[in-house]
Amino acid sequence: MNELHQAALEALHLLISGDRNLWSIIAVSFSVSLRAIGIAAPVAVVAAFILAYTDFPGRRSLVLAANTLMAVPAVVVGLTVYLMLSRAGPAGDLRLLFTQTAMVIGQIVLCLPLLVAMAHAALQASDRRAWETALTLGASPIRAMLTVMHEARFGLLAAVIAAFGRVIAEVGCSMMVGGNILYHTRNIPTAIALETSRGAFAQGIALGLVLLGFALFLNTALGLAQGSGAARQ
Amino acid sequence: MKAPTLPPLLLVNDLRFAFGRREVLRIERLEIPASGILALQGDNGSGKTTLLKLLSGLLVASGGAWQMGAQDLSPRDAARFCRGRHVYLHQAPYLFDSSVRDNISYGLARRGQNTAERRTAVAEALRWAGLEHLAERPASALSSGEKQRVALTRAWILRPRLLLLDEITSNMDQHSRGRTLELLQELSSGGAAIVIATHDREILNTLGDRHLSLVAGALTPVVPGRPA
Repeated sequence: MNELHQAALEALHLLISGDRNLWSIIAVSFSVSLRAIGIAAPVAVVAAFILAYTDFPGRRSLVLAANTLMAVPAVVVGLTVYLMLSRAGPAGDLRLLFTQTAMVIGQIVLCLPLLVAMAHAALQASDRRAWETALTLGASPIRAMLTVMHEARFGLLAAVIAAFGRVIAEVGCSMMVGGNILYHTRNIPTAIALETSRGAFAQGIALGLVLLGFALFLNTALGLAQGSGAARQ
Repeated sequence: MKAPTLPPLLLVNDLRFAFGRREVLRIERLEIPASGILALQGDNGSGKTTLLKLLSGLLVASGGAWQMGAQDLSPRDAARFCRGRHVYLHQAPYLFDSSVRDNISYGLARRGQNTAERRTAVAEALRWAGLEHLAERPASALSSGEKQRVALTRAWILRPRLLLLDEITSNMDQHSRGRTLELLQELSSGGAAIVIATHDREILNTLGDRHLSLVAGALTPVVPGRPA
């Protein structure tokens, strides 16, 4: 108990003192995950809209695939991306393995199904009259799509936050394709795994606190946004 | 001297529409006059909403020869032509999650009007509908009657070639209903072409210049005052 208390105090000290190693790990984590979400979210939301608002052969199978792939473990995604990017793999010549770009690719693959499935659910539940109203008032289909997305923004924002939560906390994929190299590819989850295996809990606790704080911030922001939306209704 | 008769706004022969294999509309000939109110009556499920959505281009007919003025169009081209030119109002209208002012200016923005033009047009439209006091109110805070009037104003401001109204007075209190009927009367006297799907006896008896009844997907003319 005393050891845990000591580690917690050390963790706070590391955070407050601006420890270079710790903050570089945090920077790598946010940089990689924000890039992954920034690329995946627009693609996923448009794909979800197409799945929710159009009808074509194979549409149901694609929705089923997105729902199924949500549950794929991060290590399996990591293994797949590793095989693609390794020397012998089809994208081996790009020499991306153990770089942040590889981690971004892995996290995109990881969060895309979750984003598509959650955004699809949000758009499916949105009021179809918004789409018809926009079209009848002269909006182009693309403009009408943007209007529908604006109307369903809280559900879409929840999808993005959930996806960000998944990628920033995943360890398996980042470890496999990033290699956990300090100042380059070591992010919060891989650092926690490494430090814990070495019996050094202070940094792990500090990084865990950052993740918890960020999750609290995101959920508070979403709650406030939803609250102001509800207050207007 | 007899006033010259305007050519119809729209003429469709052998209009057909099916959901999957189930044919829900089969109309031999439908003529929408260039102005005036055409009242459409029929039981629930008779196809009134479907017909209005076809005329607004929100649905594409399965078949039929469409004539818009001098143009002969396929059902797909007709839908493209009608969308944005013919405005459809839902029975329970949808207002976007923004202020009344923003809702009313939505269509103008889509037509590329700048902010100053929109501001002037919206102010005029709010005056026309007697909704000035609601301009900044969030649309979600309105009563259903107010929503319907805002939706009507949002459509009116675009000066559509054809206004398609689905049971417009069904959710209104007496005051909103009276005001809406006045607005429709004004629109009609101003030369607008309007199709109203309704069960409202007052609209059928006083507003409709022509009456049609839709029974199981087929149209029949109705003599006003007599049951369909």
